[in-house]
Parts: sequence; C-alpha cells; structure tokens
Amino acid sequence: MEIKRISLAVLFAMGLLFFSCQKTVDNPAPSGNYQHGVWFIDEGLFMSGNAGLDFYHLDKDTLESNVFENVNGKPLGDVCQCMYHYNNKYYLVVNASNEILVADDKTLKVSAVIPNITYPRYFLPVSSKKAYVTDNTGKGINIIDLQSNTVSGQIPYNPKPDSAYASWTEQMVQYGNKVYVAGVERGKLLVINALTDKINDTISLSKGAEDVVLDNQNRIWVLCDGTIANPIINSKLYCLDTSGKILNAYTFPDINTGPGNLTMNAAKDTLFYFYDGVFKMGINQGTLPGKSIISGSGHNFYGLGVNPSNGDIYAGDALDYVQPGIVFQYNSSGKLLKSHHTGVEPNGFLFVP
Amino acid sequence: MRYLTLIWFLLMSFPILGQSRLDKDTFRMKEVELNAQKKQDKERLKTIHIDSSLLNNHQSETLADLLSQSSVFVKDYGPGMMATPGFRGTSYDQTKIYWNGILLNSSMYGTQDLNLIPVFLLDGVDINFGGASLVNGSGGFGGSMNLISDGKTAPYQAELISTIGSFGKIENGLSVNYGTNKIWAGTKIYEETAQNNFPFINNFQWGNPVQTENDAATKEYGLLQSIGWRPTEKDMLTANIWYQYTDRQLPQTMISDLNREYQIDASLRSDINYRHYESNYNWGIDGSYANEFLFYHNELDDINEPSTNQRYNLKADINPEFKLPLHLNAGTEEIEEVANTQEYNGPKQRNRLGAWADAGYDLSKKFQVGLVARTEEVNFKTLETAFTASASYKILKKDLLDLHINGGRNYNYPNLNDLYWYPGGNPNLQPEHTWFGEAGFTSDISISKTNIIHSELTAFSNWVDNYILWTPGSGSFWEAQNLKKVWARGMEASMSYNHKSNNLNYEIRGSFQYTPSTDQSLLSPYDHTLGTQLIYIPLEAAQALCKASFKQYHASLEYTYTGARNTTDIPLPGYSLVNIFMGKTFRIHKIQFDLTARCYNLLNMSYQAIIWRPMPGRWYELSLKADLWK
Repeated sequence: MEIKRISLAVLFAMGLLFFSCQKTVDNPAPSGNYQHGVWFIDEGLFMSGNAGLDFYHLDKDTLESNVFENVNGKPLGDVCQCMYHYNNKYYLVVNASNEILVADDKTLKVSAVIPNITYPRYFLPVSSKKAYVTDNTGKGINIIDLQSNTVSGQIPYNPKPDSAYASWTEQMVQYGNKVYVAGVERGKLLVINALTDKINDTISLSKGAEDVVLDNQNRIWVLCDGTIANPIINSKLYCLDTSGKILNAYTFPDINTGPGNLTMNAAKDTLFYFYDGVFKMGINQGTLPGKSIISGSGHNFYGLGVNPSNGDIYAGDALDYVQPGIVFQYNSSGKLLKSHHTGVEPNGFLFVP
Repeated sequence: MRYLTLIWFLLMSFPILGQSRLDKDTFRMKEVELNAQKKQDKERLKTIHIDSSLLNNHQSETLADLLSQSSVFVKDYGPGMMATPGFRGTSYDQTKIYWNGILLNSSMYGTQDLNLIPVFLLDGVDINFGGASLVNGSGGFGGSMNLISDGKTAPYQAELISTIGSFGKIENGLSVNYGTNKIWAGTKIYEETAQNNFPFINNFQWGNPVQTENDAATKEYGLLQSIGWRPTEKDMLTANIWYQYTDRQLPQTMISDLNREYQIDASLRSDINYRHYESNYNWGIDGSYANEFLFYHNELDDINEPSTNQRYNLKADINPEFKLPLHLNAGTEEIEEVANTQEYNGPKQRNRLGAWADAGYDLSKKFQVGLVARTEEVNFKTLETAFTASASYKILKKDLLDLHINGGRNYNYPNLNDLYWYPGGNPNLQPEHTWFGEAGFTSDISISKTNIIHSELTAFSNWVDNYILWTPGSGSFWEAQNLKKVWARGMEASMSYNHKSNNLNYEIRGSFQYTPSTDQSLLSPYDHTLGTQLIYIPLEAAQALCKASFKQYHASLEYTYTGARNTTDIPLPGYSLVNIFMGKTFRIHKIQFDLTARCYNLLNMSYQAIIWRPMPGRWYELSLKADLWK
C-alpha cells in the first residue's frame, strides 16, 4: 500500500507541475511623444525577428523601450540596419526582412512598406523625389521613388569575378550631385551622378570599405575593415577630396582587430570610431590616435553615435549578440554618465533635436 | 513505386531460389543475445527500449516525430526541416545517436538530423539517459540513442505499407525478412514525397495574413539491407548497409520569403560484424564505414556548398564469463574521421583510439554495483577518460521498489567545424567536460496478473564546463571558444498502467520532465544571462498516452506538452498537441491488413517550436499495411 501512495504522490506532483501557470506580459502604452530625444536602434539577432526601437526621452531622462511594437502592434522585423529621418518621415531599413518601413516622425505609425529589396543596408535621399539604398547581394544600388514608396530602378554594380558579396555596398554620402558609395568586398568607392543614376567613377581603396562620412572641409573619409578580407589584411582609413584623389591613408596597426562605426560630431571636425575601444581623431590630425578615449575592455561595442546638441557619446554594447544589450552614455571626453538597457544588438542612434 | 516493385522482385529472387523451404521455426537466432552485457546495466543505468511493436504505430513518421512523444526534447524547425535531439537540458551535439553501435553524429556539425531517419527502417530504439550513454560511447552528456536494425527480428515476413496524408504526403515502404537459420537477410526499402504546403497565420506580417508554406517539398528514398550467416553454432557474421537520399527545399521563415534554399543529403552507412561464442566467453570484431554527403544551395547569398564527411570505425570486444557474479565487457576501438568543405582550406582528419570496460558485480540478489570506463586518445596526443560508477538496490521484492544511483565524468570532443571552419574555427579548442549524477527509483505493482502499474522517478544533475560557444571576435567574424559553464539538472517522473486480457489490452501512460538548464558563466561584467534558462530548452514538458486494442480494433490518443522556452528576448509560449490514431486489422485470404487513420494536432493548435517557423495545424494520414504470410 505504501508503494501505491508513493505512486499517487508522483502522479499528483506531475499534475501540479503540468498545470502550472504561464506568465503573460503586458506591453506599456506608447507615450506618443518622440520630439526630443535619441532613438536607439536594436538590430536584433539574425533570423530571430527581434529588431526594435527604444526612445530615450532627454527631457524626462527616461527610456521608453520597444516603441515600434508598442505603437504598431507588430514586431519591427529581422535586423534593423539603420533609421533615417527625412521630410517628416522615418525610413527604417530592415535588412533580413528585405524591406523598408516608412513611419510618421511624430507617432512612429507605419504609413508604407517598401518590400522585396534584397538585404537592404543604408538609405540616402538624394533629392526630394528619390533615394538610394545599398544592399548586400543585390547586384546594384536600389533607387526608391519617395512619392510612391516603390523601387523604381537599380544602378547596376556587379564587379567581376562574380561572387555572392562582390556587389555588397554600404554607407553613402552626397556632395552636390555626386553620391559616394562604399563597395565593401572589392574595396571601392563608387561615385554616382545623382542626376543620371550612373556610376561615373570607381576609386580603388582597401578591402572592407564600409563607412563613409563628409567633414566640414568637404573631404570624404572612408573606413576599411581589413578583417572582412580573406585572408585578413590591415585595416585602413582614407581621406579623399571630392574629385576622388586620396589625400591621406592611415593604416591600423593590429591586423586582427577591425575598426568600425565611423561617425562625426556636429561641427564635422572630429572623427569617432571603434577600434576595440572608442577613438577620437581630429580631421587634420596627421596620424591615428594611439589611445582610446573609452576603453573597450569588457565590452562588445557595436553601435556608436555622437549627440549633435551636446557632444555626448553613445556606445551600444551587444554583449554576446544574443541577450539584450546596453547603451553606455559618455560625455565628449569619455566619462561615463549613465547606461541604458536596450533590445538585442544596439547598432546605432538617431538624434531628434 | 514501379522502381520499388522491380527492386523488390530482384532482391526476393536470390533467397527464394536458394532455398527449398521457408519455415518460421528455422528462426531461432534470438537465442543469441548480442547485447547481453547491456541487460546487466539496466538495473543501474536508465535505459528505455522502444521495440518494434511500439514503432509500428509510428511507421510513417520520422525519428523526430517519434521522439517528440518521449521525454527527449526535439528542436524541430518544421516538416522537412532539421530536427535535433536534446536530453536533460544539454545541447544537440552533447546527444549521441548510434545505429547498431555506430556513431551517426556528423563529425562536421556534431549532430544528426532526426528528420532524416524514417522510423520504418528501424526495428528498435534504445534511449540511454545520462551515464548510460557511456555504454555506447563518449560525449552523450544528456544521453544517447542506439537505433537498431535487425534483419532477424521476426520470422519470415513481408510487409508492405502505403501512406497518404495531408499536404501531399505519400510514403511507400516494403520490408522483408527471409532466410534459414544458417543464412538470413532483411530488406527494407522506402520512398516518400511531401509538399508540406500547409496553411498558417503569419502573425509577423502586416494584417496577419493566412499564408501557405512555400518551398518546403521533400523527396527521399532509402534502402537498408541486413544479412547474417551462421556457419557453425559458435560463429555468426552479420552485415548491414543503409543508403539514403533526401532532396528537400528549405522553407523561409515567417519574416521574409524572398530567398530560396535547398539541401541534398546522401548517406551511405555500412557495418560488418563477426562474433564467436564459446561456453565461457564470446568475442567479436566490427568494422564500419559511413559517408555523408551534403549539398546546400542559397540563392540570395549565392552559396553552392558541397561537403563530405567520412568515418571509418574498427572495434573489437570480449565478454568473458566468470564463476563469480561478475559481468564484464571490454574492448578497443579506432575511429578515423575525414571531412572536407571549402571553408576548411583542405580536408581535415582526426584519429580517435580508445578502449573501454563495462563491469558489473552482484554483491547479493538485491545489491549490484558497476563501472563503465572509457579512455580515448585523439590524434595520438590528447588523452581523455570518462566513467560511470553505478549501484542498484532492490528495497522490496518483486520489483516493488528498486533504487538506482550513478555518477561520473564524461567528455565531448569539438566537432570539426568548431575546430577548422574559416573564419572563426579554433584548432586549440579543448573537449567539453561534465560531472554528472543521477538517482531514482522504479516500481512495478502487479495488481493482478493482467494489471501492472509501473512508476519511475529520477533526479539528475550535469555540470558542464568548457562549453563551446561561438562569440564575436576582435575582427568581423565570430570565433569558437571554450567559454561557457552550464548546469543542467532536474527530475523525470513517469507512470504507466497496463492491462492485458484475451480481447482487450490497454495502456495509460504519463510522464513529466522538469529541467532547469542554466547558464553559469559571466562572459562580461554586464552579462545578465547568469542563472537564466538556456534558449530553446523548456523548463517543463509532459507526455500522456492512452492506447487500447479490442479484438481487431486499435486506437491511441497521444498528448504532449512543451513548456515555454526562451529564445533571445522573445519568449515562446508553451503548446499542447493531441494526436489520435484509429485502426482495424482484417484478413483477406492469407494476407493480414491493417488500416489506420491518424489525425495529428487534433486541436488545430497554432504554435511555433522555433521562433518564426510555422508548424502545421490539424492534418490527416491514412495508412494501409499488408502483412504477407503472417
């Protein structure tokens, strides 16, 4: 009889555990006020569909998490690569969802979806009617009609020999009617005539050309991550004039470490980038800085931004790239001010003045 | 089907011409128990045997479907997609799968896709939990499975089974056993096609549209041939060969349907075994060869990637018998692994040379102790050892209450991708290690001769160190490193009630697993995963089964519950599935038929086993099985 009791107890315990409750999560109501602050772009883990947006309300010093889903009732998508503010709209480039979402800049309500763009990367409006979108494997730069929110064409870029990522293009800057586009795999800087939508020039740099910015002297800076190359090579930073002439080339010392996230301050006279830690470099500096202003020790820095209004540096730490990350906020000299818990892989920032 | 029929006749013609009489009584080979040593471990090490009668209910399914009704957690990406097993909160490459004792886990990827193993080809499955996995080999931290193909499990028999199901599923299989007590053979051949074009609600897309799963079609066929020869009463030679080909489209996630992917798997596995029996010992040698070819295509990323993976295995063992109540099996084994893919920068090779001993001693009729020990040298350099010490004690007579306890250490070598994949592979990786322990009881209560209650309760703990993790390196790629520590522990409880009488048989079974499996490593000062449940491992899972047969009718109702799982930041809710099977056996002339209708996911649950991977709602299947000469 004792055994029967034991058996019944086991059965009872199983039943209790089996019918245990499940937690439900209620999403907070969106504040609806996104006029002054910083958007944290949480890229999300590839194939997990967990990209998101957080808004740091500068006036209230509070962080509103997962705003996109709370406003729209839908997940943002898979791998939000970047966010661009133009003409009272936000353009959200969602890489692995193969689409761009157009949202109202006051409410973040989505008003249009531009679908079927192969792995889009970066967005740049080149006139009031059209924008360019780079991508990973699409064999060219996409032209977006901003009136109809459709893909209206493509500027072919398909270097030989052909391979999956031969046509991979990343960041862009515009100067006049010229648009400068980083060609990653072949290490090129493409110069596109925005009036004709044609590539007019191709400048050879170093493999891994990803980041492009324009300084206040109208010089173009291109950061090339050599760890993308196979076999890896030393990474480089180039400074060019708008005709495409290379004015300076800086070589990073450690072949195993890749720099990234080149960005500028509001005055466009200082460069910031990751090279394990955060580095700061004046645009007229003759050599690469030897010491970081923010140490990378214990961090996996992934997103970098400089607040144009006060020079605060925002560095997104992706931790292990799986768990939700942390954004560290520093002043312009690298002193830690505060940290914010974000979504997965905080990869960039958009400052709303 | 035309081809199947042709091959069937060709295969059949050889033994029929070579013998004058076929008689059930000529099959007495079951008297020779190849795995005699395993029996003595059963008291002390937890093993579940799924025999061919249980497999009969699931013959149109894959091993993934079958195991989803068990306490083994299956991480299933969807119909036709990859499915990997996980025991007791450990990862898929810490679960080992053997076929007749031959390791099937890919030396490249570390796992074996359970959706590529049709239940139809199997005659039995041994599920070995925790330390019991060391009986077959190392590395099964949570456990291992040994799939059994045995051409002599039944007397002269031929079986034809045809299945049609929802979403374009058609499966045909033939199974034949034939021969004499001197020479015998078993042949199994099957083919299956499925469109897997099921509808689902896509709650990732705007407007939650109802969509149809695209590009999920699969086509596969396989042949398993077993032969045996017993030249004398003391000698036996057996050989098996298994070829399987699968061509499957890989459907996209609910997130985007822009890409197109497919994968081809072609596997050849073969094994030859010789065994010699004397009155006070027996010994055997076994040689095997496996060749796994995989081709993967990805349209958007322009990937066309072939890879090959070969494994040669040679082992010898001896089972001496003693006057003392001592049982011993000892042997030695050499494994040569060769793999190649374009990401390796040339073929990679690994040699594993090892020895094992599995000993048990009966201190009394109630009290047994045992030890399984393995040692292995890799590339003639690294030496690793693993062991399980175990004991069992019968507290009450007639198996009313038996206690067992075991514990020890195990190791798991990195797979070749972890070591050599460019970029990110790390040739300096160390094997993963675990210290484990387990204790539990079993109880059989015979209420009457026809009514038995069986219950089990087991608690276990695995502390895994050197856990291999791919993490972002200082460059633009991720690197494999021995970084993580994991503590997987929990309890398993099960209870069953069996009734057997002349016309009515029924069984009611329930089981439950509670498995906290937590990350115990702090990878950075800001890491907040310390102590959190590992992703895709449910804390709670449960299964229930009601099975009955009355005269020529049979029916079963299966219930599974998979608890909520962590993914990254989005938790997946738990889900319950109910399957119902109903069938009837009948005879026309000398042929016995079994017509079975099955309904899967009876409650039409909308669920995801993997995030943003849709699973089918309610679907149906109809099988007709013909047993010739039964």
